[in-house]
Amino acid sequence: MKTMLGVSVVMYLCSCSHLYYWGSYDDRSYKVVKNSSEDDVQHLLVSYDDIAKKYTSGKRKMIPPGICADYGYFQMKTGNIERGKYWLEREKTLYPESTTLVERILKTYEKNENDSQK
Amino acid sequence: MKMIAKNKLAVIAVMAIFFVACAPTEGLKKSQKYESLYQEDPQTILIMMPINMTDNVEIKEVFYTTLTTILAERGYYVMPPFLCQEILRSESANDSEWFENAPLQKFGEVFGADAVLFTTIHEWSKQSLKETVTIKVAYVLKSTKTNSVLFTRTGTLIYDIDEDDEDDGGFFQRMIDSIINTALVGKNHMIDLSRDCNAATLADLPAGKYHPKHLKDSVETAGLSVFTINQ
Repeated sequence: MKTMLGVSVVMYLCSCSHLYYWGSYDDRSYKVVKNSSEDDVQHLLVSYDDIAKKYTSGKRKMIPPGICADYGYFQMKTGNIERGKYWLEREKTLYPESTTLVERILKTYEKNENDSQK
Repeated sequence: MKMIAKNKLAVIAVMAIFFVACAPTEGLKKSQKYESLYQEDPQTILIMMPINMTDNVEIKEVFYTTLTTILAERGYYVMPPFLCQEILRSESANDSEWFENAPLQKFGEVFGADAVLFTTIHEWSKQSLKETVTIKVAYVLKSTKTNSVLFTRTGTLIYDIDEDDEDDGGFFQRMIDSIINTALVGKNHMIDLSRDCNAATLADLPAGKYHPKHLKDSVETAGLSVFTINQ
């Protein structure tokens, strides 16, 4: 089994045979889903950064679907509003099928902002 | 007379077995087996949190996080998992059981998802004496437009967790190996096993629009709907 796991991990990490480069996304996203500690979120943000830098090593030479949107979501959640908006817009540009979701998020944010200013 | 009746019954029974055996349920081309999926050609998938029927409290999250990468690698646009879970939580809609048999049109409107993936983990067990781990998971992909099932498959994977170890260390060595294996399966390697299980089962899912095989794999022979793999 150890061999099997080793082979599967090596194959998985070898992005040349994959559409996308993922780095350590699976492990780090699992920790955030499970624990949601600040440290885990920071590690996941590092993982997003890593994907944004190395995405060209995947076959499609594109950032994987959903990554920019989630990165933007975490940025906004931690107070980096402009950076968050940038990544959300980037998701829309790369993947137009995300438009419904991204616009809903941005509209909800604007509405909450307007409500809090009243 | 009785003899003829018996013979007739025997012939009918043989024919029934023949027709059941030859029923067009398996061995079909993907275009036949997943006809509605090819017709609808869904491009965006929302993954719901797996339904966990086991005692392993961590397994739900492990499967959830490994599904994203596998589905994206099959060529689909996978809705951003963290953002979507936040929305589902805020709408009190993150309980997958509620929606498995409910209308899904709202998921199309809110998320822009063409299809929703439900998974049910039926088994995740480690047999200490046999030193195997058994994982049984059912996958159901449903359309948000028609609510019809576009893809369904149930995989049982049995992993031999000690096949590579030579049995030359005696009882205490075997006991130590067993403890190590339990720890490995219980922690980081759960992710690898989940990933393998998802990959094995979803390998039969027709490729999405970002995959080079999109619509070209319709001539391939579809896999079994229910299958078991001994690793």
